[in-house]
Amino acid sequence: MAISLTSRWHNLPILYKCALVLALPVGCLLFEIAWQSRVLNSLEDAQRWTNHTQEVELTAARLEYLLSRIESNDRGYALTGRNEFLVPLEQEQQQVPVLAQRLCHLVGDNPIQLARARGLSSLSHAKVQVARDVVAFSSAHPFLPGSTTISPEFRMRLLASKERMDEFMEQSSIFAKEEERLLAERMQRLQVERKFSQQLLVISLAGGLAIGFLALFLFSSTVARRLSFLEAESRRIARGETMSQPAAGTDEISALARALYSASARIHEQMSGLEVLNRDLESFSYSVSHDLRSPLRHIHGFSKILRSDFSAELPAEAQRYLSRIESGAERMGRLIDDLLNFSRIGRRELDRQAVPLFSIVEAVAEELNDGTTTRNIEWRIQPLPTVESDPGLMKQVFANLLGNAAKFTRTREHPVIEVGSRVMPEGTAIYVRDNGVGFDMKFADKLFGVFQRLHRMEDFEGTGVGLATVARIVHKHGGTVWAESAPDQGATFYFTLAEPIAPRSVLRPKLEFQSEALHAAAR
Amino acid sequence: MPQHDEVEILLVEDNADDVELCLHALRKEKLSNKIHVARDGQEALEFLFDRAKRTPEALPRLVLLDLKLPKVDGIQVLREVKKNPLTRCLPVVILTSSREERDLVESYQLGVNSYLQKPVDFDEFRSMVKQIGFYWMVVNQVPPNGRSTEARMA
Repeated sequence: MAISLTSRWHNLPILYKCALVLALPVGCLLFEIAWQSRVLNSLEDAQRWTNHTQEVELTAARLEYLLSRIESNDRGYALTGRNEFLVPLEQEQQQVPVLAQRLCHLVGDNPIQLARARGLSSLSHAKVQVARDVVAFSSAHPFLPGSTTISPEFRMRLLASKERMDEFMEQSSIFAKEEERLLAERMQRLQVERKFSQQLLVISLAGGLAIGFLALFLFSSTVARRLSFLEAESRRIARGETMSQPAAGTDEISALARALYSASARIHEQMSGLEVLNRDLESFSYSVSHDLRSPLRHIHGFSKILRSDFSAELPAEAQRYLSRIESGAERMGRLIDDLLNFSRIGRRELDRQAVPLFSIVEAVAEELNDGTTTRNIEWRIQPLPTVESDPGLMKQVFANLLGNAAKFTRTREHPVIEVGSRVMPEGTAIYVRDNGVGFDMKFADKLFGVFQRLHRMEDFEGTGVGLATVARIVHKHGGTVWAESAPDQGATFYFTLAEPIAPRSVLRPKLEFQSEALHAAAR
Repeated sequence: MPQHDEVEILLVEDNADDVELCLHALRKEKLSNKIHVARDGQEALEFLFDRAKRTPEALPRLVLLDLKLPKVDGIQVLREVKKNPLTRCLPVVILTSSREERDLVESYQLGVNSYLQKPVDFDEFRSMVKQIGFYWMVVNQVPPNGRSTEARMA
């Protein structure tokens, strides 16, 4: 049951989840509003009841007052026989049934009080009758001035009138007390209800708050937590690990998890394909380096032996051909080495560290000087930055660029090779400038391709892999490489090295002039 | 007291051309005439262990080892030689076409004494052979009997 509820909640689209999460506290609030309006209604009712009771009491009191007025006027007339008592008496007697009826109407909803009101009505009616009787008797037997005795008939009638009045007052008092009691009872009920609704207000507010928090917890545990889980999984994918199988579900997050899972599976598949390919490539280059070089060694070796051990028997032409065979074998050996190196750079991981370029350039230039003792190259090495890069590969870059510069200035009387750095729109560029033979800029796009050569082999030897290797190394560091030249005007090669993407702790400033470089520049 | 079958250098090489070039270079440099050639790894191991059991003096003073060999490859030969107390002190120089990093690393981990890549240029090869011979046969000092302490105690 709990499991099916959980999975049902999981499968709900996020919109519905939000609606539900919102609906719970809002429902609480709505219930509270409905309840409070009910309480307001009953307060209004109570007010009405109070008014009603007051009206009933007022009517009863007015009736009582009217009856006592009737009695007083009645007696006045009996004693004086004057007509000024008769006129109000007549009016009052007419008002009595109207008031009595009104009283009955007011308490019509309560059978007990209605019966009492009817009793009061008939008592008031009887009182009016007695009053009329007194008037009639008085006008027939007027009370003589100076007489001190009252006839027995008259006395009897006066007593009857008083009796009716007393009776009415007694009943009226009972009636009024009952009304009071009813009012008190209603007030009591109202008080209880008010107290209850106050408690309910507190409870429902606390409940709403609790439900709100519960909803928040539900939402975060099923939506936010799953999202952060997905985030962690994507990070794992980025690190090249595989994602764990996502839980079943039909909402948007589950769909996202499934999409991510299939993407990760696909990436993994391609990665393993690449690994196989890489292994193939590696075993291929291994065979190349081992198996292709062996026959070259044999060709070169036996040709050399022929030339040295049998020189006496060989004509000059044969010896010349043999030396051509040897140089062919040597060239192919270099080509294989360069190509292997080129492919190795593609496969190898960069070993990034802070590399002071100046000392590398210095070392390469020294090596070149040793190899070209017959020429006097003027080296102008400017201060160079320390760059986050692979030192072995940086050495290859400069060996190729400086080697090229030395090679293409061979025909110059006074060869000059300059190395320096310059801030350019592309970033800080390192440049290598020579005053050699240069090249036509219309071939510039061919410069960095494998086996692309702009000069004849007889003029300048080379495998056509050097600049391709330079470009590959620079690109691997995230930089760019380009060249400027004109025929016979020398050439300048530029390259940039992009900042590595690495944690801050590993980052070093891109430009940092080494004191040794400055020192060397001053030298 | 030198015996008639004394061997100074064991050359382990499967390729006949390489054998001939190597012998030519060694002879030209007047390094040694007492060279035995093993044409695969198994033959090399049999030769070495056979001699090691006979007498320590029967072992060659230097092994020139190719890596790519039939039956038992050069790395395996190196491993066996360096594992066995009888042959452990024998200087082994790898002479190969390969410059692969993994070969280099593995050879040194197994305790190779030197690792050289055969150059294409025969003149360079000759001078390399000369240097090896001079260094290992003349300059270098080896423990008496060419055996490890462990083997002598046994």
